[in-house]
Amino acid sequence: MSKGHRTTYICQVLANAFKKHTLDFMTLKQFIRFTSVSERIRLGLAKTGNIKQDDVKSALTPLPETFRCLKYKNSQYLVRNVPNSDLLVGYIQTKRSKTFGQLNQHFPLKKNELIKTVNTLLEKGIVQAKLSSTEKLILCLSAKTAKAQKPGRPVPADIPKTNAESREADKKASIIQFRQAYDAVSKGSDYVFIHHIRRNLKWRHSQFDKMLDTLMVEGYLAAHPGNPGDLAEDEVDDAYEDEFGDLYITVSWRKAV
Amino acid sequence: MTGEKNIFAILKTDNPFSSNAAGDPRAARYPDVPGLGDDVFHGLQTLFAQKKQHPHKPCAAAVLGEAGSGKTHLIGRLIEQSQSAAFPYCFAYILPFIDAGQGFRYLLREIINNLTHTYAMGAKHSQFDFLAGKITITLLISAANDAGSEKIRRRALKFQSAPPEILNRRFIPEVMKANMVRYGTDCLLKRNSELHPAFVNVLLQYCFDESKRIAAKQWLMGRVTDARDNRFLNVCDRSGKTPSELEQEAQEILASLDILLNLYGRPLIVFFDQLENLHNTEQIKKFQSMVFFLSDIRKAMLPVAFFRAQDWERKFKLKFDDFCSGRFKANLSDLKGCNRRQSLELIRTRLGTALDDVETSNEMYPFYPGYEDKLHKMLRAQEMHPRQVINRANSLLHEVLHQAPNVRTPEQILENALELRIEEIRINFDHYPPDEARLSLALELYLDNRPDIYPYHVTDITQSSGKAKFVFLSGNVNLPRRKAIPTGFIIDTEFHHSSVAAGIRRGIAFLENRPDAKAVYIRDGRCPFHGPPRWERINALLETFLELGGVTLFLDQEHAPVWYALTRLQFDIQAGDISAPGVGVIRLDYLKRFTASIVDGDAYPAFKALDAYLASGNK
Repeated sequence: MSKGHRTTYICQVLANAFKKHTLDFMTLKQFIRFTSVSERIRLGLAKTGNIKQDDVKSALTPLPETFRCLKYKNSQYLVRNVPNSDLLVGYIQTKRSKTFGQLNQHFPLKKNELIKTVNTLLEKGIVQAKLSSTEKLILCLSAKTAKAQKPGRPVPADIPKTNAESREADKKASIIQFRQAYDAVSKGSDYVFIHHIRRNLKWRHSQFDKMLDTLMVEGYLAAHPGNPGDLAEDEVDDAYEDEFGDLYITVSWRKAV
Repeated sequence: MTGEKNIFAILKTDNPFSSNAAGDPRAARYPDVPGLGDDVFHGLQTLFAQKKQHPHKPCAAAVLGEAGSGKTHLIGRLIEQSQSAAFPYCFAYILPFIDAGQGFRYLLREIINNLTHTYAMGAKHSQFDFLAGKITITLLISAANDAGSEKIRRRALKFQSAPPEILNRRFIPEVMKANMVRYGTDCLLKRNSELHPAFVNVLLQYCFDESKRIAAKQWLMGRVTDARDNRFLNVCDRSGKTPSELEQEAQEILASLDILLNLYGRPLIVFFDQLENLHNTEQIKKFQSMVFFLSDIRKAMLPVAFFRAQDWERKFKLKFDDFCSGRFKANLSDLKGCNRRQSLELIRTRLGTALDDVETSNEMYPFYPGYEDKLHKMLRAQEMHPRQVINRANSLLHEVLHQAPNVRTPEQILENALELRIEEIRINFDHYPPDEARLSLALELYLDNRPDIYPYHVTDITQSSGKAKFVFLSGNVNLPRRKAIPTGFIIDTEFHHSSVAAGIRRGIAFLENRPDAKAVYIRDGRCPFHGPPRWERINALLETFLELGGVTLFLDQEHAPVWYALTRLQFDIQAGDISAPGVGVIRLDYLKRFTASIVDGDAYPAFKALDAYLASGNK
């Protein structure tokens, strides 16, 4: 496998694993659990058995720039390479930890860094806090953020761009992911509802829109205006409106990735 | 070179991007864009040729495309091509039926109406004249052979290359016409026993007797013709037939037409457009029966259905039975949008329609030079629907001309769209034969959902179902500080005296049973209402109806188009064809909300008269 192909493949495996996990971070052990035997073989790992963390790390080298590794409480973590604040917003949105104490226990960030990030989000009004009857601090997204974030996880394309080759590889991996989501919801049809793809991918709204625009400009797919009157309000919200105010309801894939 | 000022003035008054809907495909259309829709166009042409070569092969086709993708424009191209293709074909352009109980009668009526219309500019003959001409030539040659008349045979043969011309020549003396019809009927029935005898008889009267063509056309369209016309054409009275018997007869006539088209004519391509307007299960079931009838039972007919992709995915694909969706999926094609080159070409050709006689520095003037980057940014997607391209070019043109963006409210958009449709229908009024279901839909649209600002509003509108051939709508007219007034509307487009009498009697009964009630008798003016002595009894009934406080609305050529335009507008909205920058696609609920205001005013006296009657407290 050439270096470029390997990066693309690693990116694809990671994207699949993160999609199954539905969180923006996971331990290396969890990563193994979310990979298939064939993926592990192609990565050069043992099919089954106790796989060492270091082996996993080297199998994921070069790690695509859309991800990073970090150590927290004796475990190695794979994390989407987005700012900590975005990670935290995504996590709070999942409502897996409601109080600050729970966050501190499960979110892979040192306590002082976590406090700093939470305070920034509170100041910006992205997150709001209230005291429970047991005097615990409960954190949740503000109504404004919850609407804007719907549904909200970053995509691999959202990365600092430093290396042209890996940027290209990441973009390709995102296109592959988009295509996979398209296939998953298309049921063999040539006209696929945008809201179905968006909901399948669960990317951030703005990131999905950006990728859809790229795919249209590069001719990978054609987007079709439709009649919003036939759709529910939330389906229209999850369709796509371009910068000229045209609303698109369905897309058709036109070009092989 | 013409000055910038002049060019700008031309473009301001004749903006080539102001229209983004194709309208009636049988009328003139904007130029084609090379390559756009060609794959579907050529695919369908090949299919039509195959149908001619293998008439027994069951065949149907479907074209998917979103609103604004060029479906109606494609139909226009196929219609234009029908006469000049290597395999010429007949066509019928059919909008959806409203009353599923009359589906086949509607199909027959629309097919005959399309076939008997002359479409090409300056054309003297219709598609039906071609078929009638061919039949006439064959029968004259046959009769000449039997009688040993070489002269007639030679004269008839001369018309082989232009069959319709023979219909206008006096070949046989007046007294012989009936004999020729009898002879021809025997000949054709002997040749094919499946032919409907009355259909053949009426068709041959159309061929040999010019004076009977109008009456014959009405009968061929499946109308319940009046007793006098029945005697004139020597056909049985249809007035006693039940709706299902009339449906059955319509199928039999279509079957006979199919046999003759196969023998003498060309395949008939039936274009079904705006199918989004089929809503309920009965309508969809009836449409499926039509598709089965045309594709599998008939030999010379081929249905081509045009669906909005979104509706196909969400509605038709799920609701059609396996047979119907299978037939369509076998020849399913989708209309792709413009690539960048075609988008630019579309803009160039549109500019050309306005600046044809004007010398400019560039074919893309006034966009080039100066606005290239902006235009390219607007057209940067590699595939765009033609309507989008036109809309974007329109907004850029406003910028270039320093015009304020043409921001209109949905109400203004609808008002403008209605005016355009009224104009279009007035020009081609024959395309819209009398149709009580469409008149009824227009009336319901007008009466329902009236905002409180109007002097009256109508509630509880219901349509009586039954075997009657007219439509009866009833509702309660509410006036301020008054008890609701029960009101009945009889909508009648029947020709037969008994049906007309039944409609008026229904109005009389309604008024007699409710002393405070109102009733309106509405009739398309093209359906004759004979005075005494011919319809003496009916005129007396109408007198009674008026004495009881009822009123009549006879919609003449000036007023009826407004009613049909309202229905057409509803169809177009449902098909997603009415849209505007900044507002997007106009939805049906907008039309329901604004109908009363957009048709109000001095321009539409028929509605004004209706308003005056309904808003008055007195009967």
